[in-house]
Amino acid sequence: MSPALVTVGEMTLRALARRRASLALLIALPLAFYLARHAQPWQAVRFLGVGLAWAASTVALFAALAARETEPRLRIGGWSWRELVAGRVVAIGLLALLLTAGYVALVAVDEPIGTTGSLALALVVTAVTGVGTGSALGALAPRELEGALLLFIVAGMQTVVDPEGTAAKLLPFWSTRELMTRAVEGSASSASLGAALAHATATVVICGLVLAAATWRRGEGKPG
Amino acid sequence: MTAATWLERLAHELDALGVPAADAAAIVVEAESHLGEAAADPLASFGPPAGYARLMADALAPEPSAAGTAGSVRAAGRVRARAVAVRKRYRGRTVLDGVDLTVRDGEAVLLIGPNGCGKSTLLRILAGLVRPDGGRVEVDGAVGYAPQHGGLVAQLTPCEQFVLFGRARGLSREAAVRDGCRVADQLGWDAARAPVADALSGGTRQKLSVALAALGAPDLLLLDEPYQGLDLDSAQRFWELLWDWRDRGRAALVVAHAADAIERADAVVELGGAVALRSAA
Amino acid sequence: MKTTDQRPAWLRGVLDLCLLALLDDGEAYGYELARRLEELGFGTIPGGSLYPALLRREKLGHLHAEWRAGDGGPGRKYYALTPAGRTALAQERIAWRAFAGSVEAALATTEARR
Repeated sequence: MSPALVTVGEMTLRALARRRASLALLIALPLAFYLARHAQPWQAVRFLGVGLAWAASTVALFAALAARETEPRLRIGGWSWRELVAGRVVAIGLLALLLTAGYVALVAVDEPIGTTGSLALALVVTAVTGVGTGSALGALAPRELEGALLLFIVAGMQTVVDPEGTAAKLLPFWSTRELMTRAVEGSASSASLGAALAHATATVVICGLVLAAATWRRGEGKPG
Repeated sequence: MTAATWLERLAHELDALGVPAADAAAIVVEAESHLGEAAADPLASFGPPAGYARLMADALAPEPSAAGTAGSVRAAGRVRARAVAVRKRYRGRTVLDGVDLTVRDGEAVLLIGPNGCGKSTLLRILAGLVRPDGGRVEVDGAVGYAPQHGGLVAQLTPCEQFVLFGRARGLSREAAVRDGCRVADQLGWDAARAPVADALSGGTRQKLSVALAALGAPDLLLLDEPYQGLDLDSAQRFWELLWDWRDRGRAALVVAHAADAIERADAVVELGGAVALRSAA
Repeated sequence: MKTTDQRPAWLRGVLDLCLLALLDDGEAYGYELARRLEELGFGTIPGGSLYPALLRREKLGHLHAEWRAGDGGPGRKYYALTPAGRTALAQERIAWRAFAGSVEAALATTEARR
């Protein structure tokens, strides 16, 4: 693995790890959602997915915004934009997956509804699309408040709009919804695995393109 | 490295050092002839082109006395930063209007002027953070930049930040921490036992910022009022660090106010009259 | 136990003098001088030490340099002693002999005691 990614990623995680309270809240968010609807298992896992989506995208967003101050200086110091962004996003991605593993263990033990495998798939896809979305918004948003509000809109709308309508498919967490429905309803589900994975892939690709475009634009600012 | 590449680089280095063309050509041909007959590896026989070029350039300049460096006659160092007719406007206001500036190896140049006259902007343009609206900017080599505020990772300890910045320059972890702690030491601060950046006082954070900029000995230091918030003793140490940096043949451009520093600087550039002057101290 | 080779450090001090002495025999070009020094037992003289030394003495006026067309290759720069160079050689030769004498004396005292 590139030494650049390891160093940048390690420092991203070290800095984040020092914010104990934030980490605790991050872990607690999906858990709280899950426990709140624990009486109705199919609602519980669905909201676990929503909570994880919010947690993953929020930590990715704030990591991106916090890095804004130091990344230009690190760029001058010798890292390339690609190394800085990739190192940060991959590190946050690993953190999100670690969190996800915890929740997979939770549903494996608690066995609310559906198979652990299908739930695990839904949660992993959620984490990945969440980190992608948060990082992309972090590249676009001018400051913290705008970024947070954009995230509320994007993530919140997913729970608000009619899940059958086209608007839902244009939002990043549609794949989460589909995969959760599939996990809950079992093999007789109308939800399509293929469509969900395709949507998730497209979401990640679009987020990647947004990041690349934003990075390229920042890179243009450097004279000879 | 092939002989041809080495000789080409040598020619380039001699030119960058300002060696007259006829002398430079003679040096290159003599080296070529030697390499041809000795059939030796150029790096083993002459060393890196830059080093050999410097030796020959020094040998060309007649020394007043064999003992020590009088410091008065120095061969013109390599240009590390050059701004030509740089212009910049912010929200309709002209911040920089046709500024010219040159910083060479072995020079510490001070940038002075009243508040808001564009000193920080000029520094940021040279660092590559901002693009000028007009004019030309050239920078040769690695740059170490310390902004006036911030530029630090709040939740990392100084040693972790040394690693983060040091690895970017290709230093190993241990070397990065050693180098950073050494600079911190020169500034009178024990970095090894310091807490995260957020928990440091403003003055200590400035010291960290300077150490991060100087890490890995870049070719050009760009410092924006780095002594701000430092107590008298620390500020003194900073200036000593800067002159030492300069004496070892490196280049630095520092935004400053301090009146006494002006006497020891190699040149002082004053902004604010919409014209940059260059005066030898 | 590691022993460091002191010869490069010593050579730095005496290279100029040795070159002047070799040129007392007649003019020569750079690589030729390097070969002769190697034959005398100095080992390979790096070009990075040889040419700056020759250039220094040239600038001081102790050597006169002349370009000659080479046989097939690029031209060669031939060095010759000037009268000032001859005087400098004579003076530095005496100074070196005195210095080397002191070094020998220092080394001999400790040896004799054993």
